[in-house]
Amino acid sequence: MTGNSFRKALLSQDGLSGLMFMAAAGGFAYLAQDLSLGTALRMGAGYFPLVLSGLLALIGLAILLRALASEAIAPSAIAWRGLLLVVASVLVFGLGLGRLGLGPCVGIATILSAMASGQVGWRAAIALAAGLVLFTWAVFILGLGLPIPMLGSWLS
Amino acid sequence: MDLFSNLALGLSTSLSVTNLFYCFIGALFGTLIGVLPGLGPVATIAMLLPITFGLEPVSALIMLAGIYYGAQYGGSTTAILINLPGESTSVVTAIDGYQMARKGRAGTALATAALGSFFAGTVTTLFIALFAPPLANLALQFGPPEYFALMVLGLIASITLASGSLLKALAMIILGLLLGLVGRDVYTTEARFTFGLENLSDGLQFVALAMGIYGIGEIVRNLENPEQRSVGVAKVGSLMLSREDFRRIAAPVLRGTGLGSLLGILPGGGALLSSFASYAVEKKFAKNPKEFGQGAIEGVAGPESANNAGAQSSFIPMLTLGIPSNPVMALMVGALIVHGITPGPAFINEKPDLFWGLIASMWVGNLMLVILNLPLIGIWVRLLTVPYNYLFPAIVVFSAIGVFSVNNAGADVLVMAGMGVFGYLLYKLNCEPAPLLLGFILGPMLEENLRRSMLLFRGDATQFLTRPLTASLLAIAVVSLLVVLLPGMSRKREVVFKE
Amino acid sequence: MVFKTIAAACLSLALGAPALAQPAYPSKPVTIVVPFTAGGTADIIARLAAEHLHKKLGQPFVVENIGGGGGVSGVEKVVKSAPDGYTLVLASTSNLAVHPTLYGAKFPYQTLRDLKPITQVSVVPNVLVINPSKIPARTVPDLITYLKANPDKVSFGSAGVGTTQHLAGELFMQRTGVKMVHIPYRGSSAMLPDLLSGSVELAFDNVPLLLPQVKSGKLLALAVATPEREAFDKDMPTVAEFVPGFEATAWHGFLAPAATPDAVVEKLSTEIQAFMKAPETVKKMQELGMTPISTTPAQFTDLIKSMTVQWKEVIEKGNIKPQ
Repeated sequence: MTGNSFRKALLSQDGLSGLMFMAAAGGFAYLAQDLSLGTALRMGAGYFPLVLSGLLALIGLAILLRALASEAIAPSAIAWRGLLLVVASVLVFGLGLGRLGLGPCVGIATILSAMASGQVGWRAAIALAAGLVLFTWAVFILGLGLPIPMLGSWLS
Repeated sequence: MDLFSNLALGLSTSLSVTNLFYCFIGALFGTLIGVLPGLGPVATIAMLLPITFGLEPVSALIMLAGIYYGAQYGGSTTAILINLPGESTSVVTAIDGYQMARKGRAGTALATAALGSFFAGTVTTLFIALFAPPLANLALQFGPPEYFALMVLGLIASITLASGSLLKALAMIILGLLLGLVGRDVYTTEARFTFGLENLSDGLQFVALAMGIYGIGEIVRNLENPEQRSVGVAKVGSLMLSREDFRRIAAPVLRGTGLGSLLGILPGGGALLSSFASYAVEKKFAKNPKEFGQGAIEGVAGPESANNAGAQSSFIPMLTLGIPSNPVMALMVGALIVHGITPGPAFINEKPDLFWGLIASMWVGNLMLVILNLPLIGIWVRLLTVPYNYLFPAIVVFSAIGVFSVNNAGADVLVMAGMGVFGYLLYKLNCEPAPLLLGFILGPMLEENLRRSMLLFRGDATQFLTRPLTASLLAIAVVSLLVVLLPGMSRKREVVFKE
Repeated sequence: MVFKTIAAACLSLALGAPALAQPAYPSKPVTIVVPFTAGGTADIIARLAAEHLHKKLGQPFVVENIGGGGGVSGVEKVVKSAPDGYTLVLASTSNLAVHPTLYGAKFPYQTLRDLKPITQVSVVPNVLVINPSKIPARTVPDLITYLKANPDKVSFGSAGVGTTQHLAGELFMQRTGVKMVHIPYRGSSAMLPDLLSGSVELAFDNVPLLLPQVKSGKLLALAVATPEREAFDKDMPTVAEFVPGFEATAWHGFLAPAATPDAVVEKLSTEIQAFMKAPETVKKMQELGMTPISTTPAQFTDLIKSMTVQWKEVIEKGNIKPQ
């Protein structure tokens, strides 16, 4: 096998999957080191995770080896813009719902994710944001009475 | 006959105009809230529970039954329309239901879910009325070793959830099991994989995981490719089932109902398994298993019926033994206690009107749901005609609020964001997420019951094989594993050619 | 006219009602954090009390359920919030007298350093039950004899490590010198089927859960773990009658962040105590299987102190610590 095709196989869907599973197994096993192992009678907290990590590493290795032996399918390109903007708008909620409040969070997140497609204009995005702020306020605060402030501690 | 006089008593209680009204309101609100992404049945019931405190006990129960079925159906609706399972059981519905929606058959999928659920609900109501007390004792035959064996069987069945590579499905199950272990260990209270965060000590929220991997992952994936964005929107298609559809769903609905009503009796997670089990069974029975994962109507009909039957028969241990078998039942017990009723072995004899009223109201709730939802399907499906560029920001916003509301914790939303990235990565690497979710759900139960069994056996593992029920379940598991593995090996899996 | 009034009302609401003088407490809605998901007993108490406080004090009391970490997340949030009387917590024995010891140095709060007790509201009695088909004993002394003759043969189930149900069993073993194997579950209702089927033979658990099973004869209640006999069955002895000083109950109470003004705490304590004494509340609480209690902040502080000491000893002696 030439170096080039080896690299291609390694970076194929299956090759990367194998690597991912092995990395995950390694990560869990590393973190499980600090946990008690126990005995078969009294299994500790680390017993089951270590067994599973071992199995996962083996299967990951098998997937990797099989990938090296078969035809490589490279993963398609990553849609960075969509990924970053959509995840950012979820992060706005995770970090800001208490501090900014529901209104600003919904507004910012809507505009961020509306920008993700690259096909929605500013005006439409703002109109959508305004509509969603109103709707979520009516449903979650007025209707369901969730204990989320409309304006959070930073703004009131 | 006893059964009929009992059911008549129940129906006479539940069919008053006031109670029908409460049932309708419950089903309506349950559906409307349950259909918001991120708000599953547990969250919906918890939110609406206080409303019922002021009502008469019978009315309150009937309204709760309406809310429950409504919320559950709402969860299936989002699973089918936008690939967002609101609770663990609709993970399975999302697999083929969403594919049907992408092919313009959302209406048919929703109608299938509604009709299958109604049929399953009706049969299971009769089943409960006839056999509740003896079945309750069956539930007690299942101790920790039996649950362990059942979970092993469930995990093996879950391999069939994937239509691609077998090895990858196995790896995903194990990764799911590991993710399920995050949190404080039940036996030693050690914090596992929490990075010292108190928020993670109860484990990762299922809703956050599912919303991230399915919801966010799916949105980013749709954004990749503008032409594909309008899939499912292109044509709404017929809302009703054709004669051919009815022919195809009849057997899956029947099998799903049977599986669900039996597994639902087991308080330690049986109902959870029912929709997965039904999917596995249908895939094995299907003439064309390759269609599964691509929008097979059987893959919606079976699991949805099993799901509803299981939801219903999980009332059996609660009503006859006082054991709430899942978070929803625990909320129901809470509501009953508020009304001065403690469910338990004496419930049937002490409060026959309530017992039979509740059973009858299950059926009335199911009926209400069909009446309410068949017309609503038109509206839900029309939602899909909203251009995707405007629809998905709303999905993001609702999912985030929904995930937050479960524990009022921002950390859960951060988990959702992380899982969104992970879900997209899985898509890039062509790893199907459904087995991971099943592993996640079953992982804690598998480990807990294994360790509990070992403690109860005082370390003697051979007892797994000397208990007849455990041994037979494990034997079935081994046989299933062979059945799953063998054709896969010989056929060399035509995975590679899947797009 | 009407619109003007409404507009003015909205405006003053929006501006947080900037009154001329410092307004009397409470001048805005108060949050009661319940560190468990909705629908449980603590949640029900909180909602009943919130309704009463709203009526009496004129401001809404909003119940906020923050589940997670066995209640740790919810309590932690209150500990970290402003000590102005607008954030309260309704917490239980485990939160207040067990977790800080059990989870050791890195735990996010110390109860009496970070919180100010307002009043205790309930006692949830634990009952010692056995599966009568598995254990021949019918009284507590018989049980002790049986357990001594069969060390490590009996398994006792509990709602989880560090719950009063678990610690009650540990305390029982330590005080009587018997040996049993502890089997923890995720909550009492997960344990109940195994207790009914006899996989585990013995448990201490809450009255509301067990009473129906005891009535039907599937389980046998030997004694109650409160200091005095309880109203639900005056014929049932206490464990303390055979094992002197034995007490292992769960209770709930209201607390506020430590620096909350005493005047506010007193005011809340008086109102909540009055509510707990009302006949309707007593009836409702008994239906829920709890004994309503009302104590002063000082009495509640003493209870937390003494129980923290008792459970600390049990935890250390039983070596129940995360490794």
